[in-house]
Amino acid sequence: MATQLATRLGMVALVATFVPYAARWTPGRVAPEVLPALWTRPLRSYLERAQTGTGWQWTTSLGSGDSACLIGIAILCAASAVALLAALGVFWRGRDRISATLCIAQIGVLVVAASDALSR
Amino acid sequence: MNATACPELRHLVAATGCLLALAMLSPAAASESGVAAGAAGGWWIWPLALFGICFLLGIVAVPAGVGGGVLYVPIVGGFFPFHLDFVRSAGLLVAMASALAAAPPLLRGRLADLRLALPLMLVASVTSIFGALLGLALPADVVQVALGIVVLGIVALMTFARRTDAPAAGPQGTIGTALHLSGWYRDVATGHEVQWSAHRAGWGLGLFAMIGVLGGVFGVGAGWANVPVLNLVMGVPLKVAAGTSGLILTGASASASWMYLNSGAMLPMIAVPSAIGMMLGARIGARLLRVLPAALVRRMVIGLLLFSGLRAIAKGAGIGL
Repeated sequence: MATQLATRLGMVALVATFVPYAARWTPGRVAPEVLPALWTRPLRSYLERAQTGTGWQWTTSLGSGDSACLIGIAILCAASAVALLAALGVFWRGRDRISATLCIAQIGVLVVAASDALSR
Repeated sequence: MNATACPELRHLVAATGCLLALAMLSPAAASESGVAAGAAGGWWIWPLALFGICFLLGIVAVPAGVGGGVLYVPIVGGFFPFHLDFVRSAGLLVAMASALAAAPPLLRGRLADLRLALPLMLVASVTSIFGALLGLALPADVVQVALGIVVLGIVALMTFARRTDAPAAGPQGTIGTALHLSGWYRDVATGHEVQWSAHRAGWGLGLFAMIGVLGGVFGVGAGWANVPVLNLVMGVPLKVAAGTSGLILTGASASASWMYLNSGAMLPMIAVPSAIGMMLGARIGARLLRVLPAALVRRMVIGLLLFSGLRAIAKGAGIGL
């Protein structure tokens, strides 16, 4: 149930933010007509020219259409952690300590991956 | 409804193949004019083409028994003008979204086992992070050639690997016993409960570590590798192997996706239409699964992957194809 809700929320957020961005109702940090000249380049070159930043910097510019789209992507990336939290409760109440420990470890890995600590 | 008694379905399959071929040719021909298209205000062609291609890929992926991610990266990476860095990040999103959508009903039907998935997911998640870092650090042409080799390996697996609906049970071993890697499911066809237990868990953990790296480097969902390992190495019934593979993907793909997102490689104009198109296509593909000639679709997909793999190698090596 938790996974389904999170997945649906993520997909709704994707569509709700992408349509205004693609329709040019909301401006992007990178104008759509400039993208074809940039998305052929390697990531490093793209970041130098687009100046879009890395890590969680996109959260400081949610008024931009392309930044807002990342909300839905982040929700989808977090959906498995939501499901694991629900499973953790079930395992804990069932005294399945090994499975509960594995859940905690997996959530920890996702948190580390999301934290941007490793990509610096 | 039987496909042989319904010629319209054969036509649908043929049309799908033709559309795919045409769609492959059109972006490839236009790739050199990608910049011009953008400058002339035609940038919207690319997300629209992506949506259409991914919609078709989603339709054929389910009957062919492959994940969307394994089709997405070699095909979009080979035939669209996007750099592989962005294609891989979008591929992970596609694989993850598909797996997330499929997981809940599989869990309810006991065709995905969380206790079996957890240790394998943990190992694959950790190594997929390193795979993502490695993939972003390697030169694109090296990754392109390696991707082509991996895709050809997938083609070989799909063509030659045998699958066992009910593999022979073996001793569960210390790890399998400690982690309670066993369960049951109700076989819809027979109505009987099928007990299963996984063995060679140590081998499974080691292989999933390698699979995680591959998934992170190439941005593909690893169902093509997960299922054979679960089924043939660990002795898990095929249905449970396929279901649990999707569950593992939700975690492993999420870890790698976060790395690509934090690196700035997740471009919404590429990732979003891809994910939406693939998921919409998969819903139709799931309905067509009952009536489409799966073997025919599978052969078509194998042919497509074969060409995509060869093209990826050629592209990475700078050879025209």
